Amino acid sequence: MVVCKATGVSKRYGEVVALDNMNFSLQESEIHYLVGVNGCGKSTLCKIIAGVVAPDAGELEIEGVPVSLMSPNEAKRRGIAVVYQELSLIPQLSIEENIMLGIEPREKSLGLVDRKASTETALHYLGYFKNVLPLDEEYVKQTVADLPIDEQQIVEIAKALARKPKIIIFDEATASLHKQQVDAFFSILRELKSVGVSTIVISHKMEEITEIGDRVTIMRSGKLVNTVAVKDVTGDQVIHMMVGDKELLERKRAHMDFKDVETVFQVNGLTGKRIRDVSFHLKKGEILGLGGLQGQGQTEVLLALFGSIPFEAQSVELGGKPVDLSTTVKAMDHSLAYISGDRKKAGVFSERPIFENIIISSLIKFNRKVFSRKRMNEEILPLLSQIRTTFGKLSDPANSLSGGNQQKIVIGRWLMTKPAILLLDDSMKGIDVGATKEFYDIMHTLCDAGMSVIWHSSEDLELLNNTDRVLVFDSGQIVDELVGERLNEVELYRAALDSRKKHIAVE
Amino acid sequence: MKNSSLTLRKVRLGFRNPTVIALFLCFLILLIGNLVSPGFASFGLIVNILVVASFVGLVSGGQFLIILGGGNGLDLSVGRFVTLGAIIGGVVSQKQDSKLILALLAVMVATFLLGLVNGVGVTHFRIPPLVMTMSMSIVIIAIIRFITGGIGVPGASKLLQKIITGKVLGIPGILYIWILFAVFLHYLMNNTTFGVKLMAMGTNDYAARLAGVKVKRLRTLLYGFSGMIAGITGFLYLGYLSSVYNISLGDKFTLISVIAVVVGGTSLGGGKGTYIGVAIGAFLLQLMESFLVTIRIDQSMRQVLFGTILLVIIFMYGREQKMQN
Ligand SMILES: Nc1ncnc2c1ncn2[C@@H]1O[C@H](COP(=O)(O)OP(=O)(O)OP(=O)(O)O)[C@@H](O)[C@H]1O
Ligand SMILES: [Mg+2]
Repeated sequence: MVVCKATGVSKRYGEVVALDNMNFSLQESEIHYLVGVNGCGKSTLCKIIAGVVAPDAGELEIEGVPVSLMSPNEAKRRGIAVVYQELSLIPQLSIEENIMLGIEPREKSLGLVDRKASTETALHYLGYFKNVLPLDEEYVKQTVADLPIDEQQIVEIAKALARKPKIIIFDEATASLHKQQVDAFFSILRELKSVGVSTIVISHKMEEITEIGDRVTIMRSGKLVNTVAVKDVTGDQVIHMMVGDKELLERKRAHMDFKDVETVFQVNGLTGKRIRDVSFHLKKGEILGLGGLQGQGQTEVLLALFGSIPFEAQSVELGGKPVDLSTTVKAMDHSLAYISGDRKKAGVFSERPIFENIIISSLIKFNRKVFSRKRMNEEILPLLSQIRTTFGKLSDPANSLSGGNQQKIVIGRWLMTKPAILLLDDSMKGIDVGATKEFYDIMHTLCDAGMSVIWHSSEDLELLNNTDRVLVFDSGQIVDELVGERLNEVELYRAALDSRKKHIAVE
Repeated sequence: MKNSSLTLRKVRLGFRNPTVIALFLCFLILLIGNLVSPGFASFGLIVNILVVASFVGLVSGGQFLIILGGGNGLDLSVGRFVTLGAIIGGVVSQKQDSKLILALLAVMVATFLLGLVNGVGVTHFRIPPLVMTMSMSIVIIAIIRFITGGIGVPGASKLLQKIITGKVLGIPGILYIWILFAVFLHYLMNNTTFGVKLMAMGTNDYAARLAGVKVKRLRTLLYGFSGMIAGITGFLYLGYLSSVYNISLGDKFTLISVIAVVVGGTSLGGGKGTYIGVAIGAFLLQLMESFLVTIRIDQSMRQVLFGTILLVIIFMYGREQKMQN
């Protein structure tokens, strides 16, 4: 049975065509992947189904009944729940309050919120993640603002589940999750499927499709390319349909030997919040990975080196000379750049024009007090097209861009500062396969020209394929270093988990 | 056909833009005013209203910068800075044209430094802007009492009066000053790194820091600028009034500067707004006031009406912003 059907849906934003005569249909209890490059209209289609965006043309049917005017409330009533790409939790409220918002259980006598039942329900829906979260009553009382982004994403998922939907849309819900969390998420998808719930999943992680998808719909430039059963296609075919005739760069980094190359960056005894006595060196042109389980201090190391969180160190040397990296501006003066994948919190200035978003850091770094917009545009436009950013006008606000394109703006901002040492922190989050490969290539080219990179990624393959050496982190410490032969998944997992086993053995 | 629907859409979009709403209201009041009392929209009267609006507009410029900078920024001491500027100006210049520059410098230095104190309190000691700047108001009164010792203050020198009220092409000097100020602020916000940093900070404090903005320093500076702009306005105001007859002379500027900024479409959350909007807001407020006077609404009723209209406007904007989100 078709539970949701969109026919001939179109939507424009000024000059930008987000959807162009798009057709889509969702079967009962299927897991339906929706894929396409950044800005092809995936989120827009979902927003139309959820009633938050009104289409310019086209029809929508839910369970065979035409809906003329879908509103968010109407969608909720018909059992549609959405986990949006840009998280929409209320940061001041607790995890529990966010999950139960608007559906709080009431006690019989006075109709007050039944706190106990509310906590229980919240815990129940978070329960799928019990292996990856310290679940208890205290946990759900925490304020959402204090959570790392992956846990916020999980709360958002639980919130959607708590609404007991019949159709549920996950817009890049796995982008911020690491491996174990994704596995828990998949078990949710399977369970939903078994009780007849239909799901639409948007993701740029192609391997997910074959692992769990039933059907996949491929979009390009707001149009439907094809909807096919997953078992009938290969991942490469899907990618090919996504990008059209554009050729994909396929280049794995040939892990180079940096023994005789000069060291550009040397850190000894770095210590701080969640960082314990970290020492490492970085060679000129080298790409150094920071791996291990998620949240083991990798992000903190990058933030400390970028002057954003306080730290102590025996020595920090750049090109053999001790340097002071205690503030972000000082770090920038030494040509460091940090690109966060958490674009909403740490990257994008959403209401400000694309133009300002992209030039701000280079203006600061090169100490330019005034600028001419026209001259700046000439600098920006080639860069934007090189990183495959689709946008209307440079004066449009950044939040008019699709999620992936917003992230590209943040990357562009830092490429413009011509960094000597680039700190990447899950920087490719939300960016489509084609553009991601483009970035890898840009990165490798810049490294050949002498730039060095310290790269933290929650995707192990991204790390292994693009780095020369990986430092494995556990509880804020470096527990292993992988080079050459040992740069593979098995070694990485073993190293990441090994020290844990020892801990358990001692206890 | 397609074209006309596009224009229609543009018009409708325009009405979501607070600046356009404010401008529209200006025309509406002028129109009704002229019907009720012919001559209300005459060149002479409009110029007079603009002159009064210019002082509000200047003070609002500083307020605008602070509000844009985010962090719940607000400067409720601007009114007192206006008074202080007028008094230091009068005392230092002693009605002598030759001491005018010296007086202006004295005003600028004093008010900038006091403004910085506001900034340091807000950014380094984390005192809420509301509390900090209100306290500063009290401090400034004490300073004023100390300077004047309770005796009257010398008025403006001849040259200052001439600069402010003297007309070129039928337009008083102060309006040229206002226009220059507006052009300067517009340039500042659109073509300088300062403007980009300010807007970024107002939109997303944390991301701004990671992009290389020295957030604390910049925010502290803003309070210095706001104090200084208000001080200079007070100095110019002296030329308009020719003498300081009352030490609460600047008080009315405090709230009205905030209102002009909001009515002009600047979001109180920071990071969004234009000075052109603020200037139109300042004009609209003065226009409303004159209109209410013209139709002989008495003082107390005027304030009630004024307040109501403002509430309506602010609600309208609030709704717009929610809808956009
Ligand atoms: N509110 C808006 N105003 C203007 N343009 C918009 C708006 N929302 C989306 N767009 C444009 O519509 C197009 C489709 O955007 P959409 O968010 O649907 O892309 P997407 O497929 O989800 O991409 P991504 O993978 O990057 O998330 C983009 O070019 C985007 O710039
Ligand atoms: Mg999207």
